[in-house]
Amino acid sequence: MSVDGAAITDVIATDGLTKRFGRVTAVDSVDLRIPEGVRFGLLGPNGSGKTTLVRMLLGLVHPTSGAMEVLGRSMPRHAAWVLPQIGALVESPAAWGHLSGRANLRLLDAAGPGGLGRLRRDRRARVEQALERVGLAGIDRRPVRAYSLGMRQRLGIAAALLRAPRLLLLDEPTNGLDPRGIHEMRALFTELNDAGTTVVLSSHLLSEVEALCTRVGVMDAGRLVLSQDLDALRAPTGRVLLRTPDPATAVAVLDGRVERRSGDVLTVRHDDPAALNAQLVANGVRVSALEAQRRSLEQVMLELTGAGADRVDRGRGTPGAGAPAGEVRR
Amino acid sequence: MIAVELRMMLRRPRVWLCWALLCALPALVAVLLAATRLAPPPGRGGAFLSAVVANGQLFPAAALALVLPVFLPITVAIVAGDAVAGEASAGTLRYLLVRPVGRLRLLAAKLLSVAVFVLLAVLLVTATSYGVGVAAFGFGPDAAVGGAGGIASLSGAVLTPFDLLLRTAITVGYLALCMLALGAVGLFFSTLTDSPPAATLGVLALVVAGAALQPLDAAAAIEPFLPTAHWLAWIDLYRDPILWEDLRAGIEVQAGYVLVAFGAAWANFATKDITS
Amino acid sequence: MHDGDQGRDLGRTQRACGGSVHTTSTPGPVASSDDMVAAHRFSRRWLLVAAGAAALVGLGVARDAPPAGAGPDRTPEQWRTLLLGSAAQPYVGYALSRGRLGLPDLPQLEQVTELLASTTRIRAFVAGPDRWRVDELTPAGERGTYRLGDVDAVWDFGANQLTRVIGTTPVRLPRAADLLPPELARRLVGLAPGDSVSALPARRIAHHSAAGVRVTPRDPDTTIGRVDIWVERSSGLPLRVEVAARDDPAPVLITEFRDVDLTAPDAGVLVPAVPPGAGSVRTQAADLTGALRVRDPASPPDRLAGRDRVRLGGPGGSDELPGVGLYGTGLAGFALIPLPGRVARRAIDGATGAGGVPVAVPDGVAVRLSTPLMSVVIRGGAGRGRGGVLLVGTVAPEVLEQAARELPVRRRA
Repeated sequence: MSVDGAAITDVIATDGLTKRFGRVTAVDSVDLRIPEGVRFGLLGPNGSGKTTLVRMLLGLVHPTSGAMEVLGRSMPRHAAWVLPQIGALVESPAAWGHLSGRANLRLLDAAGPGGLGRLRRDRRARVEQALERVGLAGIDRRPVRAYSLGMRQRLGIAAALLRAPRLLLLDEPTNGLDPRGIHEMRALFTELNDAGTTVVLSSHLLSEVEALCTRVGVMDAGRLVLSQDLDALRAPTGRVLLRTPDPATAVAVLDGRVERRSGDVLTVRHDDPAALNAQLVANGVRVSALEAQRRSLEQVMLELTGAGADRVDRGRGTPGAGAPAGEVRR
Repeated sequence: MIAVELRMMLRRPRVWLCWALLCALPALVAVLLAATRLAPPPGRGGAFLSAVVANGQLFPAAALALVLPVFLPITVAIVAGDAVAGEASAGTLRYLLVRPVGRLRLLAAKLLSVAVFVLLAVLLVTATSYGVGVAAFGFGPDAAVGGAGGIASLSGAVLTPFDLLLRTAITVGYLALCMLALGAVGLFFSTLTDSPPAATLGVLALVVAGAALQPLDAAAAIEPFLPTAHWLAWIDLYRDPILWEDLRAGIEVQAGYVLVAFGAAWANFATKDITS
Repeated sequence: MHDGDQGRDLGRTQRACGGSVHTTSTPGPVASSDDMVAAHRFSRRWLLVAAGAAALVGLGVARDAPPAGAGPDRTPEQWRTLLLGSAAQPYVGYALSRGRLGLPDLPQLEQVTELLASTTRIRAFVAGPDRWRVDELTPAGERGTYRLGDVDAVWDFGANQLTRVIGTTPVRLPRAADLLPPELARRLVGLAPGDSVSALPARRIAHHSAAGVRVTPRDPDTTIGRVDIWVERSSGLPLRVEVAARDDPAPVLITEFRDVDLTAPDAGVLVPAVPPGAGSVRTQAADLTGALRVRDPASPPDRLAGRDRVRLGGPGGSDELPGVGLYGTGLAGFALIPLPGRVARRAIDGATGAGGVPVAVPDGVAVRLSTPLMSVVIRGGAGRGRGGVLLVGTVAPEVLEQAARELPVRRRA
């Protein structure tokens, strides 16, 4: 997708985006495209540069080199136009601890553009709506410093939703939430996405991304090592997992197509489970379960990324620069 | 943003505590003086303190002289040092910036709120100490019945109540400007670090360094440019006629500090990477 | 969660099926990168701020810097004549005097030593030679001297008292008014009418263009090496005076106007006010020396250290300050002041502590102090009830030592 015309459908487009903090390269020539309307999951070990990338997209951190466009306009030059259409949760929610959640949202809303103008009239309604969406409609006047971690997280999401954004950039949005809360938020994000909002969330929790996203990007040691539709990523591997009470017969029938046998589970090289099933049944092999093998996201992740930046092994120079990371890079 | 910032400042308990402490010290001094009648000998102790016992209307000047060297700078350093670094350490800075609030706009709002803080601080000290002073020491020997009489200027000539009011108003404005200069430096320091105490201590270090260099003959060349150099020039307002020379120099230097410090804050903050 | 070893194993696997893992994006130019390069803007902003700061400081410095050379040009001798005749010039001014004479604190003379050893802020309203007001501005007070005809009035805010002084004395302690550039310049130049003068580069002082004159004393015994004076070109009013010692090029005393207006002051400011509640007293001029007064002092000898006693004019002759004598001419002069015994002893202690050198005298003890500009010898009495003397002047310390030795030993009557 290039700049002319088609770029509008990319809500985020970066080109050789690089950020160095002193001698540490946090983000290393990232070319990222996120089409409008997707639910995008940005995965990567701790310290792989996800947060720095998000901060750059929001104009908080200035790139060392490279360029980026958000909602079709270059950042950070057009920040004043771009940012009002983005709702963001960066790293962790934050609020003024001595004020109530409601007062926090009102002040934050008033601080933005149009704080004194047209938007003032419906501020109260917007704040109430955002609180309702995240399940905080009933909060009282308690100051935020008395909130639980989950409540703060919900408040942070409410703040991101205040101005009905076109793009939601959420960094670890389910931190501190219980399973029910996570489920609620997932439903909320899906609902918003159905209404046209592009949702980008960065996380190191695979299950979360797997459950929500339609497309994933994987970062490792500052580089974007993968950006693909989740369905394509989890494409069949050309193998079929077969569970049968007659493994020996099956091995004989399949004659060399069995790659692995462990107990009564066989891994069979075969493209079509239906045909395989027919063949087995025709030869009198009972089939308990038959499934085309798909690669799990976890498997993909582990293949692609090295150790997280928080792991420091003996004899390694810099964290995250382990040997495997170097090997798997494009 | 400016309205938000002001509302935010007025809701901070810390700000009210600062104001309360600033007003409490002069009040305590007034009570002790009134109870013991032990005024410091002329020429010793705080400015105007020896004269206050005779006329309570001079107490605002004495109170300002009391809080000026240490108390007022400390409160200004706390509030200004917290301006940006406080938001950074709380994490709210990034949410304000992506709201979005322009960085220059944010700095301007912060400077304005510091200005309002210092102006109110000086005003509150002046107003409460006038009340306390008159209550403790009366209106002085030639007061009209039940009303404010004139007070003696440093030069001996008597100032009318209107004259006193005018000069006190200029004093308030001048001291607010001096403190705003300090606040602007604090704002600059506050953009350099994510830790409010570090910025506060930086400002206080500047005050202490200024006070240490000021009496030094070897530092005579830079003396007029020290931040603390003209802090006492407001006393010249209580001479008759007013001596404007040092006040004018003070206004120029302090305004210069505001401009340069705010410019430095902008230069640093405009492209700073927000990693807090 | 991501174990390094596991990652390595899987890394090999990944290479095997690496073909299936790739990015689908097609990198292309996204935006011009000129607005991205933060470093440029960063330095540009700082440059702007630095330039602004430099401009502000430069403005402050430059305002007083360039000498506007315009105005009449005269020879140094003509400037000297002009400045001596400038006593009638009215003005309103604000001056700073910086002394670093380094005198130790002498008992009863603290105010004098402070004048000569620190920075003094002075404000002057001068309508004429006998109609003026000079305020010494202290950090939290004011000492104003008002002259109206031959009556002096001194307002002291700290003491909350106005003192009217009756009569004058030919000799008195230095006060702030004596440090005003016009007063100091006329006094020093008046003392040495025959000394050589030379021209100095013009300067801009207190927004006026000023011509410079240097007076170099001839007298070999004086400690004063040079007196530099800058005078306002049209009126001859001295605006700045520097006094340097003979053996030290850096000036020891600098006094200059920061602001001066060559118009007469309002009549209103020249009248001392007694605010309600303040005291008002009258005193004889001679009483001002206060604690320094000695009962029944010896009359000073007519000649000391080879110098004649100066006959003091004045309405009452020289008897108004008994025991005080002035010796020498020009810039090499000294004063003899009798001290009460107790004061003399404390002064000797203080001077010894400040690095004074003992001087051998026929009877009693004496100590000598020399600062670059001023020499002091204090001689104490030999026993109880004996008075001492203070010798002070702008002469070489040896001269004062000799004078101390020549003083007659005095027995109590």
